[in-house]
Amino acid sequence: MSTRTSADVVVIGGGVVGTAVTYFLACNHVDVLLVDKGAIAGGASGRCEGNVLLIDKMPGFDCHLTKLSQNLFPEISEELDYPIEWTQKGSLLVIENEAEMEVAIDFCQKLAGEGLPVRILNRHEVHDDAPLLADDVIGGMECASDGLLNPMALAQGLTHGAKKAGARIQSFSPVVDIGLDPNGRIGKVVTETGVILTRQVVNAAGIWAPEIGKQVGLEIPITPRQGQLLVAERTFPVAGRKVMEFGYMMAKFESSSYKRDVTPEMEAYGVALVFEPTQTGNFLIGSSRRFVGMDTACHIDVLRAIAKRAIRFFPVIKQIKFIRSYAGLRPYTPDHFPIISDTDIPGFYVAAGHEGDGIGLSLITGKLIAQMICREPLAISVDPLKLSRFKDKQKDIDGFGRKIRN
Amino acid sequence: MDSGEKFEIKIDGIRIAARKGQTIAESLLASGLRVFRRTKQNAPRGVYCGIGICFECRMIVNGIPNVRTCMTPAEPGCEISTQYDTAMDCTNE
Amino acid sequence: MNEFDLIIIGGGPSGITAATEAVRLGASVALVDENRHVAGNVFHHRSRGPITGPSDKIETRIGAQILKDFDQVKDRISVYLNTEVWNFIDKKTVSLYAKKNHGIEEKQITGKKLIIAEGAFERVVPFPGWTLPGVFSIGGLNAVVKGGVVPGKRFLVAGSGPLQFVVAHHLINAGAEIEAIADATSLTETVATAFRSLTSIGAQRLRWRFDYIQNIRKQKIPIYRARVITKASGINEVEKATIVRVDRSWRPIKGTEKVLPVDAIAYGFGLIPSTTLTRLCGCRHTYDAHLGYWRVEHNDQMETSIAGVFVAGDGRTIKGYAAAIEEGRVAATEAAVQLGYISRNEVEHSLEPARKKLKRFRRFGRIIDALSATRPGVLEILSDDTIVCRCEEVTLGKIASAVADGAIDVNDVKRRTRLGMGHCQGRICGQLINELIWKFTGDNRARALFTPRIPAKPVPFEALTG
Repeated sequence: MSTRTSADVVVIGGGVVGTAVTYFLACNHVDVLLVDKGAIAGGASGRCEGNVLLIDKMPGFDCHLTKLSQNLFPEISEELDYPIEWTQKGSLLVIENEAEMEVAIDFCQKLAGEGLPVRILNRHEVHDDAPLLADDVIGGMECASDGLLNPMALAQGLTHGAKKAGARIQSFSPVVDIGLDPNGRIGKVVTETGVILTRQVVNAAGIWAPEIGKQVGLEIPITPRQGQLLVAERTFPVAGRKVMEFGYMMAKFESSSYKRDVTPEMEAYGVALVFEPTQTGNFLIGSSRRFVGMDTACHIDVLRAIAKRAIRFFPVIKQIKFIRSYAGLRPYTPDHFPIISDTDIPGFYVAAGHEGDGIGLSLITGKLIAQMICREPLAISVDPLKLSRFKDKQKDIDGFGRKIRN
Repeated sequence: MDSGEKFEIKIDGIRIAARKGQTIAESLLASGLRVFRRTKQNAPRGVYCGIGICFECRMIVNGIPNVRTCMTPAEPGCEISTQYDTAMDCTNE
Repeated sequence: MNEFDLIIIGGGPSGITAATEAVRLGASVALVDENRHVAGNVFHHRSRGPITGPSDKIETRIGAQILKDFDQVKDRISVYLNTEVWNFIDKKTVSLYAKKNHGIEEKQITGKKLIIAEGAFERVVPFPGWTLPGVFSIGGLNAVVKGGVVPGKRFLVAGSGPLQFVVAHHLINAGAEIEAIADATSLTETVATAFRSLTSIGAQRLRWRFDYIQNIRKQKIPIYRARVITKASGINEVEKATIVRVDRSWRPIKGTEKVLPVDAIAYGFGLIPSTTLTRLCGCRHTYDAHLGYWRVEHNDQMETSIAGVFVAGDGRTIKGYAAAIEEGRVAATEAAVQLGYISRNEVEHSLEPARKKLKRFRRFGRIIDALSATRPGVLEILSDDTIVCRCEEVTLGKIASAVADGAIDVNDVKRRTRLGMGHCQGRICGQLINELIWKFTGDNRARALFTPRIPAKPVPFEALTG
């Protein structure tokens, strides 16, 4: 069952990133074909939360990039003839103690300086906002522009829209080879179902991006980082919007000397409260961060740690039933930034490595890649996102991120 | 037939008779009540499989939602309410 | 103590027999069941319901016997009732959760061997209006009626297989009025089946089945053959139902509709094995075309593809309680052999009668499967707005558009429509979804089951806090 076809651009990967790239290319009248080894949203995009968040971004480039992407969502949700369950009710970081509050106030000021609609909530305000929070939560920080959506529906909606604009979709077509022509340019993509002649390829294969990269001799430093989630039954509202804990962010980014008051398991599994209500009346509880290769099995000890952490902040959850659990693999890069980049191989682009921000950054990623391919001015400089940044760094930075002294 | 001890339970504030050994679902059905729940689309639902598989007979029992009444014994004084799944959405206000 | 020689999940006929047998042979046993009583759905309610039919008597006698045997050794068994098995930590360590009067019990128990006897549930076919209160699965109505409650005034009993005559019999005894019985199978096929089953279950038990029908005849209840339900309607509850004549593949024949003034319906198509736990545990399953469903693979000793994990009862194939009891005995005995409590030579002889019986029951089970299993024509009853996934209210039309959009298998349809994402975890809609997808794709290669997920049954978050 071998077919032969051609396309101006082949996008590899039908997650939110690949479908967004395909969508924007198709809208720009580019002849684009999307291939995926399985179903649309069959990888991380089908096993994640629906975050479009600014509240957990670092001031500066991180913020700017995410803001550009976030601004696209209201419009796209209207544009797509598909319910992606977009809601924009803001997000809340809960604060456990004075040490966190001090950092939060400073962090909030920095984000406000970037023009984000953020503010600190005092004890009274935070309990007003989420009355079922544990009594000892002393405050919170909110970002009013943050939103949520159904990631599987987003991928489907973008696919739907791309098809309408003329894109072709080939699911269940694993790429087995990418052929270069004698000049080292992209020549063809060979899948299990046929050959596609093309001059341009976008590698949006998420955790499988390194495998695709190898086919053209490129090293792409993406590692799967597992996250487990529990799905709660449809029940009465626990909180009206996204709720996470400030302490975890602080321990990770702001001040590595800060230690949360958590169990060794929670620390080891990278467990932090994530509460996400969905339009269906269910909610998701996360999260964990572990490097366990391609393993997508849920580990019961991790689920336990996640549940305990969630109950610490929302004691009411104890009585609510969970009906499902699953694990997804985030495409992690060493510096936590995605790769949105052209490469040394003419015609080969990478749009992968978004770790936990794939949903939120999907639209800007699609837009930027489309702009690169169509040779239009870019919405934002992508220098910090170039694949070559890892190569450059390798020269003077060792495996632990330490500068090598000569 | 069933000589179980009789007592009262409350459904949406109204007292009905129940017997020891009966499930809540059985007590309600015996009183002629068959609509136990309203779905998200406001459709009526009641007992379907009767053995705890289908979860259609879920109601609010003593304040706890989503209780399978076909698996839960009726107990003296227990308070049951029709469950409205339409109220189970926090993303629309 | 949290460690046992043998853990048995499911306290139905096969589970309690296995427990009794294993304890007698010297093993330490834990028995877990989610109900508040042992004996499962067949023998439960026996003490409360009226005993009238001859089959009732034999069920009661057999039930009483295995319960008596069980009671004698019960003290030596760790019995966990009202307890959900919701997770396999490894193949033979299970997570338990129970709601007690004073808080919860949450623990893990480990067995050297495991018997999964999770039983069966009803094969269901959606039809327009089947979500209305007053529509019951046959087993569901049977359970309620045996409990002494009659949840309606005029009943329609429909579907396939012997269960509909059993529930009709119980309804009559409870004083209910039955408007009609509608059997999807034609009279010719039913008679042919009856003769075929003579060799496997014997004349006496076949006679009981005729007794049921006689009881129904005595009440002058019309039995319509080759009929299925096409619609139930009513505002908040069932007010009427429509039946239609079907051809051999159960395709409805237009113009033969008949409206019946009923306020309660029992509808079902026999039983299928519950595979929730065997799948979560990781046992290998095969699709059984005869049964029209998956069943777990096992050898003659009831051992699955995982060494030391056994199955027994209707959780493997549907043959009824008599076979379930024998399977429980075989599985427990083999476990005891593997545990070293008895030598293989000793059991070979004693197991011979059980094996012989099982062979016969298996033949009978096959015949019942063939009689009950749904046929493709029945899917034509569903219209675009018929709900397929009751929990998430996913209609046939939504499935059709997902398929039109490129969905090719059950998990893909699940991601796109939420079908199977609700409270029942896909137990109801998961049955026919493959066939419904093929209806639109015309491609029956991608047969699949929903990916098994923790928990096996919904449990509160507090089950994770121990």
